[in-house]
Amino acid sequence: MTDEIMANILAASTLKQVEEIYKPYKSKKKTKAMIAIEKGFQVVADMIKQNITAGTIEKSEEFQVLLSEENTLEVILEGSHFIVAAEVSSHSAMREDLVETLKQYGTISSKIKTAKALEKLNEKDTKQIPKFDIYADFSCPLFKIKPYQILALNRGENL
Amino acid sequence: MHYSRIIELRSQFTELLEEAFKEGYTTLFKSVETEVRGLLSEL
Repeated sequence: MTDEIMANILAASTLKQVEEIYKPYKSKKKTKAMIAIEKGFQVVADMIKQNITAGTIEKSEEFQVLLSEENTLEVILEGSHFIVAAEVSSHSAMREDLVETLKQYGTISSKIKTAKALEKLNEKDTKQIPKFDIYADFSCPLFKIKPYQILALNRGENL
Repeated sequence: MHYSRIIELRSQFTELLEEAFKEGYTTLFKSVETEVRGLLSEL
C-alpha cells in the first residue's frame, strides 16, 4: 500500500469514501465461463457446437495441448459446458427477440399463495388478502395489462 | 480397439450441448423476465 492510499484511507470519514478508494483495486468476480476461456477451452466449446465427434475432438491437436494433470477430459468438458451456456444466455439478438415476443404474445398470470405461505403472513398482511381476490386466479395478455393491475400484482406478490 | 470405445469415440457431445443450452436458456429467460417486469413497472 502506498503512503498516498494510506493517507486517503485515514482521511476518509465514511465507509463509502473507503469503498471509493478501494474500487480500482477491487477484483471483479470471474464467472466459470470466464475461467474456462482463460484456460483455453473456447476451442473445444466451438468444436462441440459444430457437432464434431467426440473421437475427433479428443484426438485433435488443440485438445491434446490442453490436456494435463489439472485439465482432465472431464474438466475441459465441464469448462466447455460453462462457455456454451454463457454464450446462449448472453445472446443479444435472441434476447431482443424474446422480449419482443413476450411483449406481443406473453401472458401474465397469478395464483393465490399456498396455504403454508399464507400462514406465515403477519396480521396486517392477512387483512389485505381479500383486496387481492381477483388476482387469486388471474391471467391477462401482456399487451392488455393496465398499470393499476401491475401495481396490484406487485403489491400482492410482496405481501 | 475395443468395440465400445469405437462407439464412444464416434458419438457426439450432444448431452453436454443439451445441458449447456438448457442452462443458458434458463439464465436468459430469468434475465428477460426481470427486464419485462421492469418494463411493466414503468407503465
